[in-house]
Amino acid sequence: MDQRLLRLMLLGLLLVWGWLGPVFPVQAAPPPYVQAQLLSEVAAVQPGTPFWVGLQLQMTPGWHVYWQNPGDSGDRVRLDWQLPPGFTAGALQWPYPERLPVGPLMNFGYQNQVLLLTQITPPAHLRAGQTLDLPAKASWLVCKEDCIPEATSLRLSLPVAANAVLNPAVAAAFQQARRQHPQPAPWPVVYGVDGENLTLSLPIGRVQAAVFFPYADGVITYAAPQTLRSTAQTTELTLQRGYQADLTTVAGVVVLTTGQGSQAYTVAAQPGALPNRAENWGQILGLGFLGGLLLNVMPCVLPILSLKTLQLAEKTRQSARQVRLGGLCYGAGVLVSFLALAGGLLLLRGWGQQLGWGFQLQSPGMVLLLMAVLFLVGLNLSGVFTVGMGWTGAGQQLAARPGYAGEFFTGVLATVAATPCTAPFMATAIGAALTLPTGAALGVFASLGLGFALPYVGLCFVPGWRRWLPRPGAWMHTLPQLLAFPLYGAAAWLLWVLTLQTGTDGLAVGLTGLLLLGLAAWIYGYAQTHSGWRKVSIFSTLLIVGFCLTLPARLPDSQGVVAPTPAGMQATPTPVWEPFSPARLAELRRQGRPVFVNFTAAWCVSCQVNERLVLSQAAVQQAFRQRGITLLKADWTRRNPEITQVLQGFGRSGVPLYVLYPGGNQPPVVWPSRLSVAQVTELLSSQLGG
Amino acid sequence: MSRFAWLIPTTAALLVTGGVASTIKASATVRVGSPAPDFTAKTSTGQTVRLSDHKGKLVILEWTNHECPFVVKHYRSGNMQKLQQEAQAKGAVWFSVVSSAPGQQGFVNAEQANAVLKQNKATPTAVLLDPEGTLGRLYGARTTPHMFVIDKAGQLQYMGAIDDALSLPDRDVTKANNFVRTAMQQIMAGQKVNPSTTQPYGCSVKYKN
Repeated sequence: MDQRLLRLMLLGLLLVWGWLGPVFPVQAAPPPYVQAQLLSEVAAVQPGTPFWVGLQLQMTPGWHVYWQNPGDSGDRVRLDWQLPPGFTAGALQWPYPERLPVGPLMNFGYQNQVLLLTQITPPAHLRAGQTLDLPAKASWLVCKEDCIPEATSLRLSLPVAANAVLNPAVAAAFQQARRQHPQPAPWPVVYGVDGENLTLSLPIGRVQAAVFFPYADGVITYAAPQTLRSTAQTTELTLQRGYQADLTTVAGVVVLTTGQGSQAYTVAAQPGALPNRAENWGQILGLGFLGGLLLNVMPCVLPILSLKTLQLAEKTRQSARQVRLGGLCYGAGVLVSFLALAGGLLLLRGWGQQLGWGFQLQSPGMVLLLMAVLFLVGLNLSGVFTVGMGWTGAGQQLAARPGYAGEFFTGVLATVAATPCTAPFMATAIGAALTLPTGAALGVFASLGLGFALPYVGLCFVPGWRRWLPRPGAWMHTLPQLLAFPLYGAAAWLLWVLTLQTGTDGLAVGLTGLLLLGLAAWIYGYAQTHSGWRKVSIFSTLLIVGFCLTLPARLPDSQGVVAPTPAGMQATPTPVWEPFSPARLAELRRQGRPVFVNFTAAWCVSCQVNERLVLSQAAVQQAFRQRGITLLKADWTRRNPEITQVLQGFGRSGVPLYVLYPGGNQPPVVWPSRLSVAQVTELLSSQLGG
Repeated sequence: MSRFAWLIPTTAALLVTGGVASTIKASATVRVGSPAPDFTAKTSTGQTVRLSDHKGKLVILEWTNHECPFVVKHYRSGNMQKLQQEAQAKGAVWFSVVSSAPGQQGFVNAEQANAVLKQNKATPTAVLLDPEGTLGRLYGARTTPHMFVIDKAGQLQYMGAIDDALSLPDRDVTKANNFVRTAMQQIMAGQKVNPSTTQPYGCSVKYKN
């Protein structure tokens, strides 16, 4: 037979094979729609050291191959290694795909080009100078409208060297592929189901575009549009449910586009309450109310409220109407302050500031001011000076100012004093509130204020409650003097916070302020009992107070103080806390290691209590060590947008927050805000075993 | 003042409720364990069939496209024909559905459909012609083949792939684990169908754009 005819027939045969499916592993005849090759990130392999290789596929324009879940039709790319003994290959790493519509259906895949990475671990006994031969069989389905199954055999030939050498020619391609690899989401994602809608709620704001690619079939209807709703704090992606009737975890890859570009995350969404839904709003309102009630017994508030209650016992001579009006004024003061604080916070966040509850205490100037106020109230209770009733009317205290304005300002004072004592209930309610639309968020703060005001207002309105109060007597002069000390204590604590924020220079400013305020208070009080000194006292008091007002400006710049773990926080020697950063957390999680993150702040009392009485205890520290848990401390004493963002991720807007990342790819677990040693060891055994 | 405070949550509640009420209404999705949606369709022999007329019998829906390599694999090996005969021996009704639009791969008119049957020696109860893709969209058919098994009470009991051979070119479909056969046997034996859903594989259904 004619040579040429024979060759033509052979060629025709090869072409037919190429079209019908299995192409025989002939490297010389690559499949027609995809060019495949293996790339190695290293030019030479180091014995025992894992290295990355990639399967590079180049598609004919208009044709595509498929992601691990191909969508409505198609099949993933497969790579099967025939490695020599002692070698192991990891799973294929999939860059995030794109949505490829096919008529009314949707596929997930790659057009033009893709690089699928795999890590290969060579045995340690290789000899330098030896050449490795690593064969693999790759197969894929390549489609435009019609699909062609293709397969090919490939091999990598690599020398062994004492030290690995990177191949600069492929560095850019590997880098590009890695940029498109999803990272484990650092925050939990919840989903809610409403009829045929499935909504993912992501705790990240200002998202311009989002796409979800599920791992499992039937979770969503692939072709249905994915509706994005993104506020400054949260993002909701509404998908149409698929044929699966019972959903448990909704797992997949979500690609978020923000001002900083696109980033893909692996998520395992748990069923949960979507934060900004009306049905949860009532619950959040209730939590806020309870939190407000609880605030009444917090150490910063109790002295002020005790005094109020005492006056009530005294007020038996006032008419019931006067008492009630007074109570209402106090309640109004509380509500207005809560709403003003919340409004300010929401406004600032609306402007893009990363702030959370307790933000007032992240500014050293505010800490100084609060300290001054608490100190002055203390001096007032100690009898150094009196307020109201003109210059001669001694015997009245600040919180006892007559009239309704006085009642109102007591409410304001109580609220300001209460802000550091974020009770556990409040942290959840406030965190949830801040993800709500402005109106609804203000509603939650109002509910919190109502809870806070209720006990006292109730006392004013229900005379029966007042029967439980002790009878007036001489003790009413002694008790205020005693109650001054919790206030001095609170001031001392704020001074400590100030020192942590601004260092010893700040401490000097704070102490100077206290000294001068003490002097001013004494002069003022002296003039109240010595009528001739009035003018001198007004002049000197104004002078001193005026000077004190310049003190916040003299505080060292808090940004300039480099003290990630201030000396005061290391008082207990045992704990080994590493400073938190999102990058460090991501790195540890990539390594599959368990991590415990302690979100705390020096000005947060409940955080300090938990740290000292529980987390730094030897038994707890040992339990952490035994399980190889890396301890990270996210210190929120000063403003830190990165930490604020992670807190928001957990629906929180304040500290404390304790999160255990169990390792592997398991989702993080949020621990309760009130801890005990027994509870921690129990939580660790139930969540990590052993 | 405290009376006014109640206005804030009330107003906010109204706002939020309004926002939630305006969410999108999605179309119903076919689910296993629910009644299979009823339909009427034209057959390649010019008759009209209605699903609800076949209550009391097992009904199998097979989406097909005679030009799709995955479908070809199941017919060339005789796998699909054998399954059709087994189903009919159990008294089941088998509908092969063609949802390819005119001009698309796999589109057939009545005459062509009958010619394909003859050539493949296939014996479904009927070939349903669905050039508009109405039936395909009603069931959410995505691939050829894509299989649905409906029990005697009209409940959908299985949807998904025909077997676990995926699209691996070197897997022999006659030796694969056939999910439709398993579903039919389990339904006949009064057992729970397992698996009741799988991810279908094959060519995409060539719907009208």
